[in-house]
Amino acid sequence: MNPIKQPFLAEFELYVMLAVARLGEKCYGAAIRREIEERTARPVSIGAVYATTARLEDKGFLAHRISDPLPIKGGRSRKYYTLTKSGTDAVRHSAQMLNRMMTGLDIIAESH
Amino acid sequence: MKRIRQPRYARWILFHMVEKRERDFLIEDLDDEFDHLVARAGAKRARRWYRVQVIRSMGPQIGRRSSVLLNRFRSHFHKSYGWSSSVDRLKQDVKYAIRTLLKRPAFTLAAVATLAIGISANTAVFSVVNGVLFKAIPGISETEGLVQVGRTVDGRWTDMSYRIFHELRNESETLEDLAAFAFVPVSVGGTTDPTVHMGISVTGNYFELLGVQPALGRFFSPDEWFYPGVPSAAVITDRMWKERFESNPDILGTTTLVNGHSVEIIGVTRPGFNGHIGAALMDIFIPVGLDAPGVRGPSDLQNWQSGVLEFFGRTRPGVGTDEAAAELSALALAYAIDQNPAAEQFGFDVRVDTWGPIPGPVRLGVMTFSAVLMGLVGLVLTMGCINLANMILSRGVERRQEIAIRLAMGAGRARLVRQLLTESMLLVIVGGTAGVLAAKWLTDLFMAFEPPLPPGISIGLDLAIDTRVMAFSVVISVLAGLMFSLLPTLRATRPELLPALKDDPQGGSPKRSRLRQLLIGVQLGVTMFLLVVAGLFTRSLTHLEALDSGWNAEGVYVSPIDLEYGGYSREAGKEFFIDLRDRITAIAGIEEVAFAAKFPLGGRSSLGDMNVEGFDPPAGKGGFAAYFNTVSPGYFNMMDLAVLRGRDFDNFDREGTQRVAVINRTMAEHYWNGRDPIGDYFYAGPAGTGTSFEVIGVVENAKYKSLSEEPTNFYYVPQQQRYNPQMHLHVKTLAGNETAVFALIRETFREMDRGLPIPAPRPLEDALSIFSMPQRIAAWVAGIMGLVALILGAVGVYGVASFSISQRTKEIGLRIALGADRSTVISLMIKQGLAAPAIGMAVGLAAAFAAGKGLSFVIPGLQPTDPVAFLSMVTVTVLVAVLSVALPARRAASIDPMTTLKAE
Repeated sequence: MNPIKQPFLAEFELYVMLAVARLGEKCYGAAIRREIEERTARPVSIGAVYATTARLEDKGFLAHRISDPLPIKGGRSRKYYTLTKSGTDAVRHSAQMLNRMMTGLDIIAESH
Repeated sequence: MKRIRQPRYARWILFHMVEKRERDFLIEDLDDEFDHLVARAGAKRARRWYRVQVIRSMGPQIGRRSSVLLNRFRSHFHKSYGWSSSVDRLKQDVKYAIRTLLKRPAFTLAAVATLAIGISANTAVFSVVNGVLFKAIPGISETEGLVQVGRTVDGRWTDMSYRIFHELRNESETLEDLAAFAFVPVSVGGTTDPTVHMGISVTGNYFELLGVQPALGRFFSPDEWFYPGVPSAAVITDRMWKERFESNPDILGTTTLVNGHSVEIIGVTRPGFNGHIGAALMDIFIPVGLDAPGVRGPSDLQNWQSGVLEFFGRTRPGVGTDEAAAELSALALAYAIDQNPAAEQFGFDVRVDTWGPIPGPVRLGVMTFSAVLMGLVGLVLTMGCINLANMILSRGVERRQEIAIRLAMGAGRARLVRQLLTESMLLVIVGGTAGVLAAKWLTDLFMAFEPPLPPGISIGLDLAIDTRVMAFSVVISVLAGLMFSLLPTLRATRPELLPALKDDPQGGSPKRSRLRQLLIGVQLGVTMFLLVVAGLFTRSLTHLEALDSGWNAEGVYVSPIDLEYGGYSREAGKEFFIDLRDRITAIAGIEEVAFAAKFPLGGRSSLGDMNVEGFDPPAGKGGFAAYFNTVSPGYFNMMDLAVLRGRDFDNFDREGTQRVAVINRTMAEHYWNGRDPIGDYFYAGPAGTGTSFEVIGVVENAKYKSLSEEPTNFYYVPQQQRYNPQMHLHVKTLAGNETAVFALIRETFREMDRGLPIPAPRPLEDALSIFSMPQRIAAWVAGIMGLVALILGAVGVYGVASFSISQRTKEIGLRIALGADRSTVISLMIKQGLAAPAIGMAVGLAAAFAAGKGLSFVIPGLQPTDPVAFLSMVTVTVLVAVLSVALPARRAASIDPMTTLKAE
């Protein structure tokens, strides 16, 4: 994969990464979906979340672990996501770029 | 509490949409949330929410899955073909293949030659088949719905009458239109130098129905050009316009003579259109009912039963040939009954056939012959491919080690198969190209070949290699390539790795080598068979030449003279022949002049049973078989047929006097048995009441129908007592001055009648050669096939022998090291290598003998045990077989034993 492309994240990818960072330990698909939906107030489908996490895993930004089955009857395993080191770098990089692009722009002041 | 279920279909869609490894997590996450929502907002809202989730998930999930697939595909190509570097990879494969093939020049040459021979034979034969059966006739654009219409009587095609044509054309509902035609050779020319041409008389709708357009002027038109109202006009072909009229731009409106009758030329066809029959070229089109001598006149066209015309038509859209045939048969029968109620019992079968360049009556025969030819050349190619497969199998075993090492080093099997297939395809490309070039050369040769046809008749087959032939060649080349390469290649890349790596020479299974032996045995059997048969054919031709025909054709030139072209009456015709003979005789340098109705061997005529007083006809017969020829005075002298008794005909043997005849020696010996037949009578028909002939002479026997026939009863009648407007002029000149003499003959002829085609004398030998043509062609075909089989057989034996011997170099080395004589080793190898070929050759020899026996009944002069044919061909075949084994054996034995033994 092209290393120059690596740090750049699409908008929704960035949302997912940020949600993962926020949720910490208990970060799984449905939780990410709810987190983004609540914070951005826009409808998010579970399919979109899973497609994105899979893509981010391919890129090496996310890692996952499968939990032990939940301690209830018919309890199931969950797939918990964490940011990898390069994932953290990518988020940081994206945020910096975003910052640089926005510095001194009036539209931002007006919206707050 | 009753558990609320998720929407079933939505869940099913989701299940099949999501990647397997994510599926469970995703669905259970969604189910969790669904359960919470049910509790919080009720089942209805939860279910709606669920459906929306699924719908919204579709886009991202499908996108995700396609990108995964695409990536997998891309990376696969990167790995095995190098999407961008596939050209490099191919270059590398080809380079490697060339290097491998060049390392084995003998194998490569043999393979390319085999393929080239097989593919050229197939391509050449197919281009003939294509030219005869498939190529569209230029100018006929719309063949959809065109049908050939004919009448069959007892399964045989017969022509129909103009009145039947008229009836069918007017009444048929299944046909859009119907046209009629008849072939008629005519003389064409102004007042000087008329020439004989193939003409066709056609009904007015002929051109319109075919959809052809004129290049100059106009064609006959359907509304004005029907019998009996046909003006005197003709359309000529582009070929005739160029060759006969020197592309005269003012040709339209000029008049020319057709059989002496003046016609106006109203149109010229476009180049390429020479009538609707593919192979036979027409020169001139005249309307049916043209009032000219020598073409069907009113009496033929008025008679509803006369068989004078052939038909073709165009069916209405959606009408099948069976439907049309049923309707036309019914119409024709109704018409026939109308004319004569007795016609009902005979029925009337009209046959409707789909359109083709070959006329219906002969199409089946041509197709069968084509199929047999294609089968034969297909066999040659298959034999070649078997050879190649054999060689590659052998090489595959040789290369086992190389391949095993490459496999063991991790080369993919696909990669190896591709490499080996590249080698094969390279052979196919080179062999196929050479084959197509050779086929082009062969077809050019076919087209340049001019059979000794009577003047005026031209055959024009367009055998040029077109896209269809090219496509055929490519297909058979690829098929051949697959046939010889796929199996050996797959086998070669699945070697038992261990024995191969251990350099075990006995790796080839004995079963496979037995198969190889069988194949070469069969090949040599076929070779032997074909060569001996070819030898028998060739020898039969020399036998024929050695047979005494009884006549001497040396210095005799012949030319047909047909007074029908000039519209002569019987009396005028007789006078013309006498006058012509007298005038030509007077030319200096002429030795003899005569006329005869038939050439020797050109068939024979019969006036029916012959009877002689005192001889009872054979039981159940009305008399004895006897044949005759009509000749003028001077014929016997010209042909060196000795008059044994009595006299030759003279000009006093005319009509109105007692009919006379000259009989041959066989007839005289048989019926007069030592008595003098001169002055006696024989009868055509019953003795005493049939036509009586007075015997005035006896001549030496000759051959009349074929050179190998038994002596038969034969008699000659004088030309003046049996008028025939179609005779052959025979002239014998003093050697060396033919040109001057022929010029004088032409001049004489022109003085007598400027409207008749000028004689163009050619040697009688040439005119006769057409009769032995089928035999010559058969000898050539069998010879060429035999030669090809010999080459293939030699290559096959050589290939198999050199392989099996190369597998035994160690053994040979050991034998020599232990003191065996080299020549002993070589003869041992030859003995073992020749076992299978010897059996094959013996079987082939027996088959050839049996075939010769059968052929001797149909081929004149063919002797089934001809020692020269057998000895020479057996020697050649055996010699080639022995050499093919001896060469590799000698090579193996000449290797220093130390080298082979050290190689351990």
